[in-house]
Amino acid sequence: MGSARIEAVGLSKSFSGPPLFADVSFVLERGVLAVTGPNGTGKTTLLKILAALSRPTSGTVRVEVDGRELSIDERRSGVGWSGPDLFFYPELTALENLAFFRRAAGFTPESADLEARLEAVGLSGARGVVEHFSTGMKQRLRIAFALLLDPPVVLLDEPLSGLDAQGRGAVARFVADAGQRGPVVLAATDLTELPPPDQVLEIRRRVNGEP
Amino acid sequence: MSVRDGRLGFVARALAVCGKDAAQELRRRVAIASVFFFAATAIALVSYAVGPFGLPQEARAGLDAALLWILLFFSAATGLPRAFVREEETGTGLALRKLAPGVVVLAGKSLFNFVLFLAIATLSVPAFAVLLEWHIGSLPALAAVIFLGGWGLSIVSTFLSALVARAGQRNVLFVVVSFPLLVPLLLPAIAATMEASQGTLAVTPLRVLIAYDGAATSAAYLLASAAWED
Repeated sequence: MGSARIEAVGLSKSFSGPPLFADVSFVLERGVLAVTGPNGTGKTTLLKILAALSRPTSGTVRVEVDGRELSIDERRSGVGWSGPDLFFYPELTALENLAFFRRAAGFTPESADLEARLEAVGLSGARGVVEHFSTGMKQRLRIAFALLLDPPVVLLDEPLSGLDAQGRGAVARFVADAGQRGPVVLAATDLTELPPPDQVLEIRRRVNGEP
Repeated sequence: MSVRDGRLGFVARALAVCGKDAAQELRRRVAIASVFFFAATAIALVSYAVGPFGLPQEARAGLDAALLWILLFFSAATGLPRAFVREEETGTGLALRKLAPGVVVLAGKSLFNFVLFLAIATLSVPAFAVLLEWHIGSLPALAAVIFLGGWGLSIVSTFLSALVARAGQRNVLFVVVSFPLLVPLLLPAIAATMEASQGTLAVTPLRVLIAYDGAATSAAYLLASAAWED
Protein backbone atom coordinates (compact mmCIF):
# COMPACT_ATOMS: atom_id res chain seq x y z
CA MET A 1 0.00 0.00 0.00
CA GLY A 2 1.34 3.43 -0.94
CA SER A 3 1.23 6.67 1.01
CA ALA A 4 -2.07 8.31 1.86
CA ARG A 5 -3.00 11.67 3.31
CA ILE A 6 -6.25 13.25 4.46
CA GLU A 7 -6.64 16.98 4.95
CA ALA A 8 -9.63 18.98 6.16
CA VAL A 9 -9.66 22.75 5.79
CA GLY A 10 -12.19 25.01 7.53
CA LEU A 11 -15.01 22.46 7.67
CA SER A 12 -18.33 23.57 9.05
CA LYS A 13 -21.77 22.02 9.01
CA SER A 14 -25.15 23.61 9.65
CA PHE A 15 -28.53 21.96 9.37
CA SER A 16 -30.88 24.70 10.45
CA GLY A 17 -29.76 27.33 12.87
CA PRO A 18 -26.24 27.72 14.22
CA PRO A 19 -23.46 25.49 12.89
CA LEU A 20 -22.99 22.08 14.47
CA PHE A 21 -19.24 22.68 14.22
CA ALA A 22 -17.17 25.29 12.47
CA ASP A 23 -13.65 25.80 11.14
CA VAL A 24 -12.43 22.22 11.66
CA SER A 25 -9.02 21.70 10.09
CA PHE A 26 -6.40 18.98 10.33
CA VAL A 27 -3.84 17.08 8.29
CA LEU A 28 -3.12 13.39 8.84
CA GLU A 29 -0.61 11.33 6.88
CA ARG A 30 -0.07 8.37 9.16
CA GLY A 31 -1.26 7.49 12.61
CA VAL A 32 -4.47 7.92 14.52
CA LEU A 33 -6.53 11.09 14.89
CA ALA A 34 -9.20 10.86 17.56
CA VAL A 35 -12.23 13.12 17.24
CA THR A 36 -13.70 13.49 20.70
CA GLY A 37 -16.47 15.43 22.35
CA PRO A 38 -19.83 14.91 23.99
CA ASN A 39 -22.87 13.52 22.20
CA GLY A 40 -24.50 15.79 19.65
CA THR A 41 -21.43 17.84 18.79
CA GLY A 42 -21.15 16.48 15.23
CA LYS A 43 -18.50 13.74 15.39
CA THR A 44 -20.59 11.37 13.29
CA THR A 45 -21.43 14.14 10.81
CA LEU A 46 -17.76 15.10 10.54
CA LEU A 47 -16.75 11.52 9.69
CA LYS A 48 -19.53 11.29 7.09
CA ILE A 49 -18.23 14.49 5.50
CA LEU A 50 -14.71 13.04 5.43
CA ALA A 51 -16.13 9.89 3.76
CA ALA A 52 -18.01 12.01 1.19
CA LEU A 53 -21.32 10.69 2.51
CA SER A 54 -22.43 14.18 3.44
CA ARG A 55 -21.54 17.63 2.18
CA PRO A 56 -19.99 20.29 4.41
CA THR A 57 -21.67 23.69 4.60
CA SER A 58 -18.25 25.17 4.00
CA GLY A 59 -14.68 23.97 3.82
CA THR A 60 -12.93 21.26 1.83
CA VAL A 61 -11.64 17.73 2.28
CA ARG A 62 -8.71 16.39 0.29
CA VAL A 63 -7.61 12.78 0.24
CA GLU A 64 -4.43 11.96 -1.62
CA VAL A 65 -3.15 8.49 -2.40
CA ASP A 66 0.36 8.16 -3.81
CA GLY A 67 0.35 11.92 -4.43
CA ARG A 68 -2.89 11.92 -6.44
CA GLU A 69 -6.00 13.64 -5.11
CA LEU A 70 -9.09 11.45 -5.19
CA SER A 71 -12.27 12.72 -6.80
CA ILE A 72 -15.34 12.86 -4.59
CA ASP A 73 -16.66 9.59 -6.08
CA GLU A 74 -13.32 7.87 -5.51
CA ARG A 75 -13.24 9.20 -1.95
CA ARG A 76 -16.75 7.92 -1.26
CA SER A 77 -15.95 4.38 -2.35
CA GLY A 78 -12.22 4.31 -1.61
CA VAL A 79 -12.17 5.53 1.99
CA GLY A 80 -13.11 2.92 4.58
CA TRP A 81 -15.92 4.00 6.87
CA SER A 82 -18.10 2.49 9.51
CA GLY A 83 -20.56 4.16 11.81
CA PRO A 84 -23.75 3.66 13.77
CA ASP A 85 -25.79 4.59 10.65
CA LEU A 86 -24.38 1.63 8.75
CA PHE A 87 -26.87 -1.20 8.34
CA PHE A 88 -26.84 -4.46 6.41
CA TYR A 89 -29.41 -6.44 4.48
CA PRO A 90 -31.25 -8.43 7.15
CA GLU A 91 -32.28 -11.24 4.77
CA LEU A 92 -28.67 -11.97 3.76
CA THR A 93 -25.82 -13.58 5.69
CA ALA A 94 -22.68 -11.65 6.66
CA LEU A 95 -20.79 -13.33 3.81
CA GLU A 96 -23.55 -12.50 1.30
CA ASN A 97 -23.64 -8.89 2.46
CA LEU A 98 -19.89 -8.44 2.05
CA ALA A 99 -19.90 -10.26 -1.30
CA PHE A 100 -22.70 -8.04 -2.58
CA PHE A 101 -21.06 -4.80 -1.46
CA ARG A 102 -17.75 -5.84 -2.98
CA ARG A 103 -19.44 -6.69 -6.28
CA ALA A 104 -21.47 -3.46 -6.25
CA ALA A 105 -18.22 -1.56 -5.76
CA GLY A 106 -16.83 -3.24 -8.87
CA PHE A 107 -14.62 -5.89 -7.33
CA THR A 108 -14.86 -9.63 -7.74
CA PRO A 109 -15.76 -11.22 -4.41
CA GLU A 110 -13.64 -14.23 -3.54
CA SER A 111 -15.08 -16.48 -0.88
CA ALA A 112 -11.76 -17.32 0.76
CA ASP A 113 -10.88 -13.64 1.03
CA LEU A 114 -14.27 -12.73 2.48
CA GLU A 115 -14.14 -15.66 4.91
CA ALA A 116 -10.74 -14.41 6.07
CA ARG A 117 -12.15 -10.92 6.59
CA LEU A 118 -15.01 -12.30 8.65
CA GLU A 119 -12.60 -14.43 10.66
CA ALA A 120 -10.49 -11.34 11.36
CA VAL A 121 -13.45 -9.69 13.08
CA GLY A 122 -14.58 -12.84 14.87
CA LEU A 123 -17.51 -13.71 12.61
CA SER A 124 -16.18 -16.84 10.94
CA GLY A 125 -18.84 -19.04 12.52
CA ALA A 126 -21.75 -16.71 11.86
CA ARG A 127 -23.79 -18.57 9.22
CA GLY A 128 -27.23 -17.11 9.86
CA VAL A 129 -28.82 -14.06 8.31
CA VAL A 130 -27.91 -10.65 9.70
CA GLU A 131 -31.46 -10.18 11.01
CA HIS A 132 -30.59 -12.58 13.83
CA PHE A 133 -27.22 -11.00 14.69
CA SER A 134 -26.58 -9.48 18.12
CA THR A 135 -25.55 -5.83 18.47
CA GLY A 136 -21.91 -6.87 18.89
CA MET A 137 -21.97 -9.10 15.80
CA LYS A 138 -23.40 -6.25 13.72
CA GLN A 139 -20.64 -3.98 15.01
CA ARG A 140 -18.01 -6.55 14.01
CA LEU A 141 -19.57 -6.70 10.55
CA ARG A 142 -19.35 -2.90 10.35
CA ILE A 143 -15.60 -3.11 10.97
CA ALA A 144 -15.30 -5.75 8.24
CA PHE A 145 -17.29 -3.48 5.90
CA ALA A 146 -14.94 -0.56 6.59
CA LEU A 147 -11.98 -2.71 5.54
CA LEU A 148 -13.70 -4.46 2.63
CA LEU A 149 -11.75 -2.73 -0.14
CA ASP A 150 -8.44 -2.45 1.75
CA PRO A 151 -8.85 1.31 2.00
CA PRO A 152 -5.85 3.65 2.23
CA VAL A 153 -7.71 5.84 4.76
CA VAL A 154 -9.92 4.44 7.52
CA LEU A 155 -12.69 6.32 9.34
CA LEU A 156 -14.26 4.57 12.32
CA ASP A 157 -17.18 6.09 14.22
CA GLU A 158 -17.51 4.68 17.74
CA PRO A 159 -15.75 1.43 16.76
CA LEU A 160 -16.03 -0.15 20.23
CA SER A 161 -19.77 0.37 20.52
CA GLY A 162 -21.61 -2.81 21.51
CA LEU A 163 -18.48 -4.99 21.54
CA ASP A 164 -17.48 -7.39 24.29
CA ALA A 165 -14.01 -7.27 25.89
CA GLN A 166 -12.52 -9.61 23.28
CA GLY A 167 -13.98 -7.53 20.44
CA ARG A 168 -12.80 -4.26 21.95
CA GLY A 169 -9.29 -5.69 22.26
CA ALA A 170 -9.31 -6.86 18.64
CA VAL A 171 -10.48 -3.47 17.36
CA ALA A 172 -7.88 -1.65 19.50
CA ARG A 173 -5.15 -3.83 18.00
CA PHE A 174 -6.49 -3.23 14.51
CA VAL A 175 -6.53 0.54 15.04
CA ALA A 176 -2.92 0.46 16.24
CA ASP A 177 -1.86 -1.63 13.20
CA ALA A 178 -3.81 0.47 10.70
CA GLY A 179 -2.34 3.64 12.14
CA GLN A 180 1.13 2.30 11.35
CA ARG A 181 0.17 1.91 7.69
CA GLY A 182 -1.85 5.05 7.02
CA PRO A 183 -4.29 7.62 8.36
CA VAL A 184 -7.01 6.44 10.75
CA VAL A 185 -9.65 8.85 12.03
CA LEU A 186 -11.69 7.71 15.03
CA ALA A 187 -14.76 9.31 16.51
CA ALA A 188 -15.19 8.25 20.11
CA THR A 189 -16.67 9.59 23.31
CA ASP A 190 -14.31 7.41 25.34
CA LEU A 191 -10.70 6.75 24.33
CA THR A 192 -9.66 4.69 27.33
CA GLU A 193 -9.69 1.30 25.58
CA LEU A 194 -8.18 2.55 22.33
CA PRO A 195 -4.47 3.01 21.62
CA PRO A 196 -3.21 6.51 22.43
CA PRO A 197 -3.93 8.68 19.38
CA ASP A 198 -1.26 10.71 17.61
CA GLN A 199 -3.61 13.69 17.39
CA VAL A 200 -6.80 14.65 19.23
CA LEU A 201 -9.45 16.89 17.73
CA GLU A 202 -11.94 17.91 20.38
CA ILE A 203 -15.31 19.20 19.27
CA ARG A 204 -16.97 21.13 22.06
CA ARG A 205 -20.63 21.85 22.48
CA ARG A 206 -21.28 25.33 21.08
CA VAL A 207 -23.14 27.80 23.21
CA ASN A 208 -25.19 30.68 21.76
CA GLY A 209 -23.02 33.23 20.04
CA GLU A 210 -19.81 31.26 20.42
CA PRO A 211 -17.73 31.45 17.26
CA MET B 1 -4.55 -0.12 -3.36
CA SER B 2 -8.28 -0.24 -3.80
CA VAL B 3 -8.96 3.27 -5.04
CA ARG B 4 -8.35 2.13 -8.61
CA ASP B 5 -11.37 1.21 -10.68
CA GLY B 6 -12.77 -2.20 -9.95
CA ARG B 7 -12.55 -5.00 -12.46
CA LEU B 8 -16.30 -5.43 -12.84
CA GLY B 9 -18.08 -3.31 -15.42
CA PHE B 10 -21.37 -1.45 -15.30
CA VAL B 11 -23.50 -4.43 -16.33
CA ALA B 12 -21.95 -6.82 -13.80
CA ARG B 13 -22.43 -4.29 -11.00
CA ALA B 14 -26.04 -3.61 -12.02
CA LEU B 15 -26.69 -7.36 -12.15
CA ALA B 16 -25.28 -7.63 -8.62
CA VAL B 17 -27.88 -5.09 -7.43
CA CYS B 18 -30.62 -6.93 -9.33
CA GLY B 19 -29.52 -10.28 -7.90
CA LYS B 20 -29.39 -8.89 -4.37
CA ASP B 21 -32.92 -7.48 -4.70
CA ALA B 22 -34.13 -10.83 -6.04
CA ALA B 23 -32.49 -12.75 -3.19
CA GLN B 24 -34.02 -10.40 -0.62
CA GLU B 25 -37.44 -10.62 -2.22
CA LEU B 26 -37.40 -14.39 -2.56
CA ARG B 27 -36.52 -14.74 1.12
CA ARG B 28 -38.92 -12.09 2.41
CA ARG B 29 -41.65 -12.51 -0.22
CA VAL B 30 -43.39 -9.24 0.76
CA ALA B 31 -43.56 -7.60 -2.65
CA ILE B 32 -44.01 -10.82 -4.60
CA ALA B 33 -46.84 -12.02 -2.38
CA SER B 34 -48.67 -8.68 -2.40
CA VAL B 35 -48.22 -8.19 -6.16
CA PHE B 36 -49.49 -11.62 -7.12
CA PHE B 37 -52.29 -11.57 -4.56
CA PHE B 38 -53.45 -8.21 -5.94
CA ALA B 39 -53.27 -9.51 -9.52
CA ALA B 40 -55.25 -12.66 -8.69
CA THR B 41 -57.92 -10.71 -6.81
CA ALA B 42 -58.23 -8.10 -9.55
CA ILE B 43 -58.56 -10.73 -12.31
CA ALA B 44 -61.23 -12.57 -10.33
CA LEU B 45 -63.24 -9.41 -9.66
CA VAL B 46 -62.94 -8.12 -13.23
CA SER B 47 -63.91 -11.48 -14.70
CA TYR B 48 -67.10 -11.57 -12.65
CA ALA B 49 -67.97 -7.92 -13.28
CA VAL B 50 -67.34 -7.62 -17.00
CA GLY B 51 -66.32 -11.10 -18.11
CA PRO B 52 -68.54 -13.74 -19.65
CA PHE B 53 -70.84 -13.53 -16.61
CA GLY B 54 -71.11 -9.72 -16.86
CA LEU B 55 -71.01 -7.55 -19.95
CA PRO B 56 -71.54 -9.25 -23.31
CA GLN B 57 -68.52 -9.65 -25.62
CA GLU B 58 -69.61 -6.95 -28.10
CA ALA B 59 -70.06 -4.35 -25.32
CA ARG B 60 -66.45 -4.58 -24.16
CA ALA B 61 -64.42 -4.45 -27.35
CA GLY B 62 -62.22 -1.59 -26.14
CA LEU B 63 -62.69 -2.22 -22.45
CA ASP B 64 -60.57 -5.37 -22.12
CA ALA B 65 -57.32 -3.71 -23.15
CA ALA B 66 -57.82 -0.89 -20.64
CA LEU B 67 -58.74 -3.39 -17.91
CA LEU B 68 -55.64 -5.47 -18.65
CA TRP B 69 -53.34 -2.45 -18.28
CA ILE B 70 -55.16 -1.23 -15.17
CA LEU B 71 -54.62 -4.67 -13.71
CA LEU B 72 -50.94 -4.79 -14.72
CA PHE B 73 -50.28 -1.23 -13.61
CA PHE B 74 -51.83 -1.54 -10.16
CA SER B 75 -50.38 -5.01 -9.57
CA ALA B 76 -46.92 -3.67 -10.43
CA ALA B 77 -47.52 -0.47 -8.48
CA THR B 78 -47.84 -2.46 -5.26
CA GLY B 79 -44.24 -3.68 -5.67
CA LEU B 80 -42.29 -1.31 -7.92
CA PRO B 81 -42.07 1.71 -5.58
CA ARG B 82 -40.33 -0.45 -2.97
CA ALA B 83 -37.10 -0.53 -4.99
CA PHE B 84 -35.37 2.35 -3.23
CA VAL B 85 -37.83 2.83 -0.39
CA ARG B 86 -36.78 -0.51 1.11
CA GLU B 87 -33.13 0.64 1.16
CA GLU B 88 -34.13 3.62 3.29
CA GLU B 89 -36.46 1.61 5.50
CA THR B 90 -33.73 -0.91 6.34
CA GLY B 91 -31.06 1.81 6.59
CA THR B 92 -28.90 0.13 3.94
CA GLY B 93 -29.09 3.08 1.55
CA LEU B 94 -26.01 4.71 3.07
CA ALA B 95 -23.80 1.66 2.54
CA LEU B 96 -25.10 1.23 -0.99
CA ARG B 97 -24.59 4.91 -1.81
CA LYS B 98 -21.05 4.63 -0.49
CA LEU B 99 -19.97 1.84 -2.80
CA ALA B 100 -22.15 2.02 -5.91
CA PRO B 101 -22.96 5.05 -8.07
CA GLY B 102 -26.62 5.98 -8.46
CA VAL B 103 -26.77 4.93 -12.10
CA VAL B 104 -25.59 1.39 -11.29
CA VAL B 105 -28.16 1.05 -8.51
CA LEU B 106 -30.93 2.46 -10.70
CA ALA B 107 -30.08 0.08 -13.54
CA GLY B 108 -30.02 -2.94 -11.23
CA LYS B 109 -33.27 -2.08 -9.52
CA SER B 110 -35.02 -1.24 -12.80
CA LEU B 111 -33.95 -4.61 -14.14
CA PHE B 112 -35.35 -6.39 -11.09
CA ASN B 113 -38.61 -4.47 -11.39
CA PHE B 114 -38.81 -5.30 -15.10
CA VAL B 115 -38.35 -9.01 -14.39
CA LEU B 116 -41.03 -8.75 -11.69
CA PHE B 117 -43.36 -7.02 -14.17
CA LEU B 118 -42.76 -9.69 -16.82
CA ALA B 119 -43.49 -12.39 -14.24
CA ILE B 120 -46.76 -10.65 -13.35
CA ALA B 121 -47.68 -10.33 -17.02
CA THR B 122 -46.71 -13.94 -17.80
CA LEU B 123 -49.13 -15.18 -15.16
CA SER B 124 -51.82 -12.50 -15.44
CA VAL B 125 -52.34 -12.25 -19.19
CA PRO B 126 -53.21 -15.95 -19.76
CA ALA B 127 -55.49 -15.92 -16.70
CA PHE B 128 -57.09 -12.70 -17.94
CA ALA B 129 -57.60 -14.18 -21.42
CA VAL B 130 -59.15 -17.38 -20.08
CA LEU B 131 -61.41 -15.87 -17.44
CA LEU B 132 -62.65 -12.99 -19.61
CA GLU B 133 -62.68 -15.03 -22.82
CA TRP B 134 -60.42 -12.36 -24.27
CA HIS B 135 -59.12 -13.20 -27.70
CA ILE B 136 -55.43 -12.52 -28.39
CA GLY B 137 -55.29 -12.02 -32.15
CA SER B 138 -51.51 -11.57 -32.37
CA LEU B 139 -49.34 -12.91 -29.54
CA PRO B 140 -46.08 -11.37 -30.88
CA ALA B 141 -47.75 -7.94 -31.10
CA LEU B 142 -49.07 -8.30 -27.53
CA ALA B 143 -45.65 -9.45 -26.33
CA ALA B 144 -44.05 -6.37 -27.90
CA VAL B 145 -46.53 -4.08 -26.12
CA ILE B 146 -46.04 -5.83 -22.78
CA PHE B 147 -42.26 -5.67 -23.19
CA LEU B 148 -42.13 -1.98 -24.15
CA GLY B 149 -44.83 -0.90 -21.71
CA GLY B 150 -43.25 -2.95 -18.94
CA TRP B 151 -39.82 -1.42 -19.42
CA GLY B 152 -41.23 2.12 -19.40
CA LEU B 153 -43.26 1.38 -16.30
CA SER B 154 -40.26 -0.18 -14.56
CA ILE B 155 -37.71 2.54 -15.32
CA VAL B 156 -40.07 5.42 -14.43
CA SER B 157 -41.33 3.73 -11.26
CA THR B 158 -37.80 2.90 -10.15
CA PHE B 159 -36.56 6.42 -10.81
CA LEU B 160 -39.50 7.92 -8.91
CA SER B 161 -38.84 5.49 -6.09
CA ALA B 162 -35.29 6.90 -5.83
CA LEU B 163 -36.68 10.42 -5.90
CA VAL B 164 -39.22 9.93 -3.11
CA ALA B 165 -37.33 7.36 -1.03
CA ARG B 166 -36.21 9.87 1.59
CA ALA B 167 -39.36 12.02 1.55
CA GLY B 168 -41.76 11.99 4.47
CA GLN B 169 -45.02 11.12 2.67
CA ARG B 170 -43.33 8.94 0.05
CA ASN B 171 -46.30 6.70 -0.80
CA VAL B 172 -48.61 9.65 -1.49
CA LEU B 173 -45.84 11.49 -3.29
CA PHE B 174 -45.14 8.49 -5.51
CA VAL B 175 -48.76 8.22 -6.63
CA VAL B 176 -49.11 11.96 -7.26
CA VAL B 177 -45.86 12.25 -9.24
CA SER B 178 -46.25 8.98 -11.15
CA PHE B 179 -49.72 9.76 -12.51
CA PRO B 180 -48.75 12.49 -15.04
CA LEU B 181 -45.57 10.63 -15.97
CA LEU B 182 -47.20 7.27 -16.62
CA VAL B 183 -50.37 8.35 -18.44
CA PRO B 184 -48.41 9.02 -21.68
CA LEU B 185 -47.13 5.44 -21.39
CA LEU B 186 -50.41 3.75 -20.57
CA LEU B 187 -52.51 5.36 -23.33
CA PRO B 188 -50.44 4.04 -26.28
CA ALA B 189 -49.99 0.73 -24.44
CA ILE B 190 -53.78 0.34 -24.23
CA ALA B 191 -54.21 1.35 -27.88
CA ALA B 192 -51.56 -1.13 -29.03
CA THR B 193 -53.06 -3.88 -26.86
CA MET B 194 -56.48 -3.32 -28.50
CA GLU B 195 -54.87 -3.68 -31.91
CA ALA B 196 -52.96 -6.78 -30.82
CA SER B 197 -56.18 -8.41 -29.64
CA GLN B 198 -57.59 -7.85 -33.13
CA GLY B 199 -54.51 -9.41 -34.70
CA THR B 200 -52.78 -6.27 -35.97
CA LEU B 201 -49.55 -4.55 -35.07
CA ALA B 202 -50.24 -0.95 -34.04
CA VAL B 203 -47.21 0.82 -35.46
CA THR B 204 -47.89 4.35 -34.20
CA PRO B 205 -48.57 3.44 -30.53
CA LEU B 206 -45.52 1.15 -30.56
CA ARG B 207 -43.38 3.99 -31.90
CA VAL B 208 -44.68 6.20 -29.11
CA LEU B 209 -43.79 3.49 -26.58
CA ILE B 210 -40.28 3.16 -28.02
CA ALA B 211 -39.82 6.94 -27.89
CA TYR B 212 -41.17 7.07 -24.33
CA ASP B 213 -38.87 4.26 -23.19
CA GLY B 214 -35.87 5.91 -24.82
CA ALA B 215 -36.61 9.29 -23.27
CA ALA B 216 -37.38 7.81 -19.84
CA THR B 217 -34.24 5.64 -19.84
CA SER B 218 -32.05 8.56 -20.93
CA ALA B 219 -33.52 10.91 -18.33
CA ALA B 220 -33.20 8.32 -15.58
CA TYR B 221 -29.57 7.62 -16.58
CA LEU B 222 -28.68 11.30 -16.54
CA LEU B 223 -30.52 12.12 -13.32
CA ALA B 224 -29.84 8.93 -11.31
CA SER B 225 -27.03 10.44 -9.27
CA ALA B 226 -29.00 13.59 -8.46
CA ALA B 227 -32.01 11.52 -7.39
CA TRP B 228 -30.24 8.97 -5.22
CA GLU B 229 -27.00 10.47 -3.93
CA ASP B 230 -26.71 13.33 -1.45
